[in-house]
Amino acid sequence: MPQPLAAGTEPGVDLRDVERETAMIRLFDGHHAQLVRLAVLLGAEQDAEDVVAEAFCVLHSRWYRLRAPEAAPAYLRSVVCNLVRIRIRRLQVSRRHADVELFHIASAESTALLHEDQRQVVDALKNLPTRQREALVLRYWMDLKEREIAEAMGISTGAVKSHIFRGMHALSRAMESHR
Amino acid sequence: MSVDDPEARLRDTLDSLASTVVPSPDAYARARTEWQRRDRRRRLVMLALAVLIVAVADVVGLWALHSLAEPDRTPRHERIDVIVQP
Repeated sequence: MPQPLAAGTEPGVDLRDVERETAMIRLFDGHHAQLVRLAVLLGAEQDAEDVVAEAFCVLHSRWYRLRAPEAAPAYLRSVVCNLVRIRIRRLQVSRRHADVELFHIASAESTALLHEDQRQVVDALKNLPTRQREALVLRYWMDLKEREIAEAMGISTGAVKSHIFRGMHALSRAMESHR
Repeated sequence: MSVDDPEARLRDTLDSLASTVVPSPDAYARARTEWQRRDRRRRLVMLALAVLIVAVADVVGLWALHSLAEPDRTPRHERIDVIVQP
């Protein structure tokens, strides 16, 4: 666990910065592992740690622009979703140019530990459009409300409902076809 | 868990997949080093910018003072009419 800074030990340190560092430690301690898992489920694969570290750096630089410190976890989720989406898009473009098979949601190493039926679900999930996959992961793994999902994805709640409905429909059909 | 329920299957799969992910123990140290480095860089850029603005303002001010304090040219070859009154 990260050790908190001792306030007032360093002369000339801004108190606001000390508060920010303390809040960052608490956030890291409480949310880092979950965010890395979220990044993996969204398709960040081996870059999940880097994506989450980048999200924390972004949060650190924009800390004073947050409407409240309580908004930080939602902001981190949103940044992770955006960064993973950018990464997937970049990979898709580069692989299309290189004429290589498209993106896989989870590495062979992690899916090897899953059962056969779970692997089918992962296969079906990786074939979904990025937005639908995001909505399903945020809804069924993080148990977020539609409003929170909309905030994380930067879309309306109506669009979230649509993505979840279409995603589940496509997933159910894919599962049926595997039987 | 019902095998026929796609939502339950999805939850179960996502939980299983997530449980295979173990974050590295030095993640905090690396991330903190990175955000501190960026913070130092940002402060340095701001300081350099402030110094640059002050320096430019100084140069402009000194130039303005110099141009105002410049003495009038002494007449050499110009004709001067001298009126001597008796």
